[in-house]
This record gives sequence, structure tokens and C-alpha cells, in this order.
Amino acid sequence: MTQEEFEALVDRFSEGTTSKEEDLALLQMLSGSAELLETFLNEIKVAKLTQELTNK
Amino acid sequence: MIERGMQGDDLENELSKAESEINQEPAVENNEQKEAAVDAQQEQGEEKINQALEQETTTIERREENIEKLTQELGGTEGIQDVVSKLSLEQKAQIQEKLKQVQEKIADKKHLLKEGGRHNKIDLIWEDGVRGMDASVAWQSLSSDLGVVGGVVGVPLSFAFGATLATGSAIPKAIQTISRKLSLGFNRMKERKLKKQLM
Repeated sequence: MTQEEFEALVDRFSEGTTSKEEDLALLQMLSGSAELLETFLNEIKVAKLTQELTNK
Repeated sequence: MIERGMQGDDLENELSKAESEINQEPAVENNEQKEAAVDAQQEQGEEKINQALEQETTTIERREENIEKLTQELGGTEGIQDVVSKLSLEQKAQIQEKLKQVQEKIADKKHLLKEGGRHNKIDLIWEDGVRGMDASVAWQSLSSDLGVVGGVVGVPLSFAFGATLATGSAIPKAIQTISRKLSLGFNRMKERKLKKQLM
């Protein structure tokens, strides 16, 4: 999927949702993806601190 | 209406009418009670959805800020790449396990939403949306590096991060891509909310 295709997909769902449940599904999907990225970065931060402590 | 002096068929007809009216009254009352109960349930459901929408919006805003802060703290995508390149196999396994747990929690959320809403479209939004995130050019490149056969359709994000851990070199592109897509999706939702308020 290209960037353009993804943008079209987001547009379709943003404009095409007809109920609050569907809005919520889209928001939760985005929130879930954000949570994964946040978790990933948090874990990398812990690993970085561990590396710094080991090097001291 | 039964009147004094009424007799025979007339009296019987009126009595029968009165009897049927008496029998119908509780039924009407019951229906009204049921309708009121359904209305109350719908109102409660609506209120819960509104609360969930507000809560999820705040959560995404907080996560976006946190992602930006963490990325800066780690020295940007190059800094992240540097840390990942020095990770031990054990650390990589721990991170993958943690991501798997988050992925499972997210999947549970979808099931709860479906149970409440009973909308088939929710499946479509969720699966296509997640596929949209997963199947970005960056993930395709990562999967191809790892020799994943059959494309990346349906590949969970946790796997994509797992691939990121394994291939290190693709990190900047992967993180930039997903951050951009998150912002894009969220901004579209915010625009739509504003439009609704203006209408």
C-alpha cells in the first residue's frame, strides 16, 4: 500500500463512518497503533539506560 | 358506553367492548414501560459511546505527545537505531514479548467494542485500518528483508516492530512512516469533528 493509497483509506473511513461506534473503532485503531509505537520507544529508552549503566 | 336501561345485544356488545378495553390497558402500559426502558438503555449507550470517544481522543493526544518526547529524548531516529544495534538477543526477545502483550490487549478492545455495537463495519474499519498501517512501504521493505512470503497483509504491528528490531537499518523510515500515518489519521478525525460542530 502506497502513501497515497493509505491517505485515501483514511479519508474513506473518516468521511464514510456513519455512526459513533464506527468513529470509535477508527479512533481505537489509531490509538492502538500509537500505543504500540509508544511501548516500543519506552522499551528502547529502558534499553538505552541499561546500556549507559553497563558502560559506566 | 353502557347506559341505564340497556338490554340484550346492545348491553352484551358494550360489556364486551368494556372488557376488551380493560384487558388492553395493562398491555399498553407494558409497551410504554418497555419503550421507556429501551429509550433509557439507548441514552445510556449513547452517553457511554460519547465518553469513550472523548477518552480515546485525549488518549491519542497524550500518546502523540509522548511519542514525540521519547523520540527526542532518544536522539531522534538515528539515536534509536544506535540503541537497537546494540541490543542483546535477550533484550530483543523481551521487547517483542511486551509488544505482543500490548497487541493482545488491543485485540480485546476491538472485541468489546463489537459486542457493544454489533456493527460489521467495525471489523472492516479495524482490519483495513490496521492493514493500512502494517502494509506501508516501510513494512513491506522490512518484511521483504526478512524474506516473508505472501506480502504483509494482516501482519500485526508487533511483528513489524519485531522486524524493525531484527533489521535495525530500517528503523528511521519505519518510525517516521508510522508517526506520519498516525498523525494523518488523527487529524482527519479532528477535522471531521470540527465540521460536524460547525454544521
